Amino acid sequence: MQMNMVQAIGDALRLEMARDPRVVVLGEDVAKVGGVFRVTQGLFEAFGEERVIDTPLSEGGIIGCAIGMALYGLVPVPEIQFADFIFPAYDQIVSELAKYRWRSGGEYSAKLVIRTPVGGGIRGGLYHSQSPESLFIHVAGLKVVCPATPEDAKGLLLAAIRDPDPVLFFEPKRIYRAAKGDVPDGDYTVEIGKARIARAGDKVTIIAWGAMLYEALAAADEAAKKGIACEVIDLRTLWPVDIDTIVASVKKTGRVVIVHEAPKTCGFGAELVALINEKAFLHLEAPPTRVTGFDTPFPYTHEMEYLPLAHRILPAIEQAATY
Amino acid sequence: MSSQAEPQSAPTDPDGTMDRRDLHASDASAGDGSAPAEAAPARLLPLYRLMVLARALDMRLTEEVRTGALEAWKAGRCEGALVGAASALAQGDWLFAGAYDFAASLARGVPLSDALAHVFGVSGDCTKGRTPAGSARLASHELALGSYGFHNGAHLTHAAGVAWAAKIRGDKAVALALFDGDEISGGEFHNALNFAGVFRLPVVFVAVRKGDVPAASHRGIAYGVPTAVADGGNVLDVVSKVAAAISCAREGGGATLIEITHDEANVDALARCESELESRGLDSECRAAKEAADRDVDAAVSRARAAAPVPPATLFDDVYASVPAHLADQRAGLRTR
Repeated sequence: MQMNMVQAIGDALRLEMARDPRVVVLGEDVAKVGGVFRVTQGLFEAFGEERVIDTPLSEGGIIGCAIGMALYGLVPVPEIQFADFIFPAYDQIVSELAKYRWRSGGEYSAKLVIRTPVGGGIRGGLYHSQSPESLFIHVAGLKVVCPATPEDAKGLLLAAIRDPDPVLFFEPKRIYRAAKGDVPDGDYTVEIGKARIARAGDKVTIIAWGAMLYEALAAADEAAKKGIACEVIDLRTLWPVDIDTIVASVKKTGRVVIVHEAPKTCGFGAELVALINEKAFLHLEAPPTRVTGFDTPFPYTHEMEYLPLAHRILPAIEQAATY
Repeated sequence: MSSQAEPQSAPTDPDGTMDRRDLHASDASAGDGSAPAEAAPARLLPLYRLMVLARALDMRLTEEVRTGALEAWKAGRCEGALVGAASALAQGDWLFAGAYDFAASLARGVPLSDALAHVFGVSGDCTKGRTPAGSARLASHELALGSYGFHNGAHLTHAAGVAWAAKIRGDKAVALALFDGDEISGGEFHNALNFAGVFRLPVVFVAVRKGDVPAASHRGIAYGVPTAVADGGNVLDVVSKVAAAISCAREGGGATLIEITHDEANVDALARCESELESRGLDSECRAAKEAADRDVDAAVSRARAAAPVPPATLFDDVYASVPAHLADQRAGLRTR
């Protein structure tokens, strides 16, 4: 069935809440309003106020309480309305959620899925556009997922809810409605930790995720007209990253361009370059490069200059191809 | 952008007195309904034994630190507060205790040998040597004892969340969180009390107050959470007040904030309990309790000191449910000094 990403995520939540009575959705405006992006629309009517809960505006409280629910045996799926708002909950996520299983010697798992929209391109400015993935990938004990297609969004969310570990489920808001595609009916999962080859090629590897996947594909289209065949990898799972798929591609092309919206310094691209150097150095024909957001706060007026769109990716591809 | 959730049947307070939870011994406390001063030995003795055990542990481990056998040890000597609060819990209830609340963990049922293995960070430590020596960061799913992180009050919302889950499931479990004065000031306290008040959660927050720290008792009103004060020097007062709050929560009355105070002149609940028992002619029971505690602590310390260390490779377990490839790689690079 044709769906956009909002519908696919909503479908996953509906399906899993019907299948598993332990699943509880909570967050700001998720219940009666159905979410500011309407992702949770209809859940309150279907499952009631005990399982679809409007919370106070208190991210630390939302996540702290969700951890308690998880300890008791529920499967909470709290929403952080915009990833930019996640920082009041950062202590609970880093100090408690990520470490609970380890510091309790395996007595408990604080298993939950935090859903949150990430990324720019919607005229959101500083506090409605950020992509904080590296701040979570860096913390042991967390898994981080970012689908780019509706099919992956549904399958990965179902996988995330059933995964035994805490998962950050980042939803690229720019393509909430723009990303459309065939989504299988009913129950299925997409394996966490497996990337997808979005476009096969043998000259330059482009690694991307989220909304920037489409910019990478657009740049690859332009590069193809110039005779450069790019292989575009959609990571889908940021951590644990599918390093095997990346290495296999780098061994084929020897040239890598990594694209992410998040600021350059200590962005996830830096880790990917380090891993590629460790595992595929002798196969490289050019230094791996990163096309990213700048090391500035996320702007409002100059959003389209900030984002690593196709017009910035293409020169990096050409540079890699001709190094 | 979001609207504050409506509290479910918010309590009204026309006379401005709702901030005080009226908790008396008649409210479902353990046993015979008599006033604390007249309590039967049957109530006092088990509490006394637990306090004696906690005290013996404290004294012995202080000695272990002095001789260098143990790296660190700290216990607050609030045995009355900790034993009293933990003893008020029923079987299915949950306890979130603080980093040094050994007396509460023991009262909850943690075996002494497990506690000592944990203190020394040796084989048998449920946390596999991952948490600091000398602290009570035990966790037990079987005993519904939550894990404690560090001194910011983060466990308060965990307790609220457990209570919330129990309420959603229609279970009668109540959660209790022990915390100290320092944890009143931070945002976690605010978050926990706020959610507990808004959603009328079956959680009891117990502030163990000693020394010059902010009072908790006047803060509950801001959150619609009634408060009560108990005397940390009187274990039965603690038991009865906490039990009444738990009972109230279990019956749908929502959360309570209890502040256990410690009077400078009268802090030793153990001594008071002992003189109460001795005045009833139970000297030999008291002596037996002390001898048993010394014996048990001695045996447990010896066992812990002789136990094998925790293997370093366990560092990589439990980060995730199963060891992922990148951690397996890192474990392969482990070198012992």
